[in-house]
Amino acid sequence: MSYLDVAGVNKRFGGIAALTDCTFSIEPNGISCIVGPNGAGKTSIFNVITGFITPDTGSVTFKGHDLTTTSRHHRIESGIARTFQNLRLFEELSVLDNVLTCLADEAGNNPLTAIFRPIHTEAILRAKREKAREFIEIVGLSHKIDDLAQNLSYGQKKLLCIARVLATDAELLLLDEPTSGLAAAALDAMVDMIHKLKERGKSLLIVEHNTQIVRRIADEVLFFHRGTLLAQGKTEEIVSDKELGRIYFGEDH
Amino acid sequence: MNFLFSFIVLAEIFAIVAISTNLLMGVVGIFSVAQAAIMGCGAYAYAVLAAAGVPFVPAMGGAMMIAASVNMLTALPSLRLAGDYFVITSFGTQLVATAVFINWVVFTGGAAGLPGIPVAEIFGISFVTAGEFLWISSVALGLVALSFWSLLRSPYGKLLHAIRLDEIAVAASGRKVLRAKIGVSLVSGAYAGCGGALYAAYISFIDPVSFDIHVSVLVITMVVIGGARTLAGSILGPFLLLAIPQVLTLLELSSTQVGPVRQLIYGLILIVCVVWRPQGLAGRSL
Repeated sequence: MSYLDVAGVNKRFGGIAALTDCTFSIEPNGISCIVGPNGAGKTSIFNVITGFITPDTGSVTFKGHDLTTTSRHHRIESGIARTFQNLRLFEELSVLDNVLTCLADEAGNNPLTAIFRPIHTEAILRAKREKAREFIEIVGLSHKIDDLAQNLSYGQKKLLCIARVLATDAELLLLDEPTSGLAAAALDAMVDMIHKLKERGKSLLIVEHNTQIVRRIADEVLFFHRGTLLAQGKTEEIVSDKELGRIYFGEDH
Repeated sequence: MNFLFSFIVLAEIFAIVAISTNLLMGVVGIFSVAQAAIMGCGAYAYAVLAAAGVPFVPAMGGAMMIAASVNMLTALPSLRLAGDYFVITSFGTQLVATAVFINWVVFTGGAAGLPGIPVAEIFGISFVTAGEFLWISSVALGLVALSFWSLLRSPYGKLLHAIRLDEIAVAASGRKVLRAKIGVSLVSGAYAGCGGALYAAYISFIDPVSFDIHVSVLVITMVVIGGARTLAGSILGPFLLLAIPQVLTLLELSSTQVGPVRQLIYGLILIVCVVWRPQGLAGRSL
């Protein structure tokens, strides 16, 4: 039994096979990078693991529990959370409220408590703010805490995504292209952040396009192509594999 | 003076319904055109309970619970749908409700309406005139406004805003979106029911026309012009829009002209708002 097991997953959208017999497993407290050309099924496998799509066949098992048909909510409770390629921040809410909304604790998320026990609710709110502040501090956005998410720079928005996913208390974090579109300084900050997450005991599964970044962060690499896992192994082996390089960069390269 | 008090009482009652609409539409982004129907459920429930001899406060409570349940049950099948589709199903709810108000004659008195609804009485004190009823409507609006404010300030309120902004992201962070929406439809239904019950108790006569689709549209217009997502907006809107018919009575228009002129003015205000102040007079800027 491994940490996360994906076994025999197939998913078709009409005539298109998004995932074909996809099988792999990852170990705890590592950084695994999923690489592959566009349309390789990287985001699809994220969606299957987090319950955003249900596979036609196959299973997802996390720490021995079969999660294949469970709700998204249940998967987060089990310890798997994700970020999105297109961020999906609550743009009109403050940095603080973005994180506060994602805290694992359900306390105060109830209309009757809010209306009939306002003082108790106020205490919950204060405690949750304190908790959210800690996560915001981890990603280094304390100076922006009251700014609206929409007023952050792109790099800061991506860090806020990390704070949000941390707030869920999940131990396995799936990050969808955390470094894409970042300028050099922001990119370095994100790479440091990813290492920091590992130091905090998190396990990471990351979709990453840039092979330079993959070399800097990954413990292992999963190479996807046309909806299936082509190779899995140590970063250096996969990244320097000529055949995989040819597939990744196109036939002419 | 009675004229002014009467205006304030009605505006306060509609402010309560506007807060209900604002919570659903402005905060969570559930666009419902059935708020008048829910208000009507509260009004009829109150009328029937009061006629059966139930005292004012318990009858109000009963009306609020019934309106909350109806709102939740009619919304439940479509709460899973994304925003825009909800308009269609709530439109259906509104039409069905009006048909029920007209045809369930035993309870509602049919198209002729229900006259002689018992006056509000608390601890032996009757609240009959506008000046007297103003106490009740003001306290009710105060309580509703306070609870709306507490609700929006709480973690639950932040969750509701988040649902409007990105439902998928909310689900991805482990929140139960459907449960939150059911909660908000109950609260919003209770507010609308409260408004309806007060309306029935104050006017002492209700009929299906008091709660038809035009009233739903009027309340939405109040929220749009007053301002979405803020308490001030929900209160300002009703006072402003209900003042227009009052002002028109001062002009010497023939009775056939009053209706169309009123609609014309509503229309103009709406256009002016949409062009120059899309967030409403007291709304949070978009």
